[in-house]
Amino acid sequence: MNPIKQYLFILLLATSTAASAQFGNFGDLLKKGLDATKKVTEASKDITEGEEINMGEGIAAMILGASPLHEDKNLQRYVNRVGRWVASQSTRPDLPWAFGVIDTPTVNAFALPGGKVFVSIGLLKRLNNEAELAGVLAHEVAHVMQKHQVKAIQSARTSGALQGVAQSAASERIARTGAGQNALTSSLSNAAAGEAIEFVKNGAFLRPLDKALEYEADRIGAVLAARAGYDPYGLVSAIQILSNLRSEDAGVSLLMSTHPTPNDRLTELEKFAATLDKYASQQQVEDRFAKIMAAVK
Amino acid sequence: MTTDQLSHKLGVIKRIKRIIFLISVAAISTQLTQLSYAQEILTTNRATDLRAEADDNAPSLQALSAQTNVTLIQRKGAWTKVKSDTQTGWIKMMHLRGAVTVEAASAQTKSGGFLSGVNRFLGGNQANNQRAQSATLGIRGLSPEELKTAAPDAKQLAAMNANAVSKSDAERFAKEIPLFKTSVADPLNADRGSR
Repeated sequence: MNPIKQYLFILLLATSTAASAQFGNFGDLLKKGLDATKKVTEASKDITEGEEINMGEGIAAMILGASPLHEDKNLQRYVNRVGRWVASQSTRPDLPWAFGVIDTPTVNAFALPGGKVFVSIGLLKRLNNEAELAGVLAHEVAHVMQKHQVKAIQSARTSGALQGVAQSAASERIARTGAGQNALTSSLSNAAAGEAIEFVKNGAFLRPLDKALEYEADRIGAVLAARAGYDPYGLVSAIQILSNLRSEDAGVSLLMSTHPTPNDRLTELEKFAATLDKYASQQQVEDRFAKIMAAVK
Repeated sequence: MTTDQLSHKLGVIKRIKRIIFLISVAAISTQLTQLSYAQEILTTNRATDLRAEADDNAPSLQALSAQTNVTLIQRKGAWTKVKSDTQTGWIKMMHLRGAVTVEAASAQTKSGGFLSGVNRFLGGNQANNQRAQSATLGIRGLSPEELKTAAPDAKQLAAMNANAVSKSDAERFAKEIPLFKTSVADPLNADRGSR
């Protein structure tokens, strides 16, 4: 098995169980068994930073297979510079951060484990300045900094513990979900790699994260952008732009239907208005952004 | 004052007026450039004031009730310059929301969109699907069609990695503006102790 296929397989196992855990109210179950909590803690040590980086590489290769990079090298370099400057203000400044603009009109930005971040040209074209871009990238950097995806995968590695908890807690729903997951993994253990890719093709990467994690990424994102010298309202502005997209716009429907609404995100961010206001007079950087975007074909 | 002096002064005033006019034209042109990318309608989400300046203490030009539509002109820090039905002024950005609702998109998925199909594939039941819809995604919006045609692309990945820049490169880039590294505390201290 080549490394990419190997990591895709690991991810496949991880995402299937992560999703099961999410559906089964993982948090409540944990409280019901200290032993299980201990197992979870031990299991969570398993994913090293090196593994995390390699997983990100594997998923990135798949994403790029679906949606290639935009061909404008200046744009790619520009987004990498903004992103790396923001990431340098995070608690993980030395990850091999790499930012990619994918050539799709859909409105997207997303982060992968290990410091790979994607933003679509469709989203970039709706932004007005570098502070807004920095805000979007900072939200994604925050997901990586807080290891939101890694934690989801880590929780999947506790699948054995999970099923034990399910039984002791007599949770019918979890037991049923767990059984489904076993059937799924055993059916994949033969021609694992090929089936893993098939699994990706079926959209299994669309794993749910808790709403609270999106709000956390917004809050920390605003902080990172401010640390980088940008007006943190750039992120607020970007979310406000999202709040005005029509559902019929290309690629927006899925984003809108699977996220906290942009308006809810703004309401959550407003709780930290005192912090935002303190740095609101920092840079927006309109000219450099406009120059780069004007040259994009 | 002689007639000559008077006409000289008038000439100077004329020239100044012309310069002011040209500056105004330039300013309006800039404004138009801004307008060209930001013709958005926003809605007030509470009763608020349209103010003369981007300042809480600036005089109120107009009291706006909740759910009033305004046209976006410009954003500046915590403030948004907008045009109401009668006036142009500034409103706190947090007092504005998108005028477009996303209910249609949500309804579409609730009736069995792509995501609910994935949930079924993962063994989730109907109740779980509804739960998942209130959750969020790590990767979102990449269309099912694009994912279905996916194959790992090592060449593209190498290209992406080649575009990455070093920390010192990013620092030089920040100095161009300049963007100053600022000490900003996370209001909830989520990153305390890990720095």
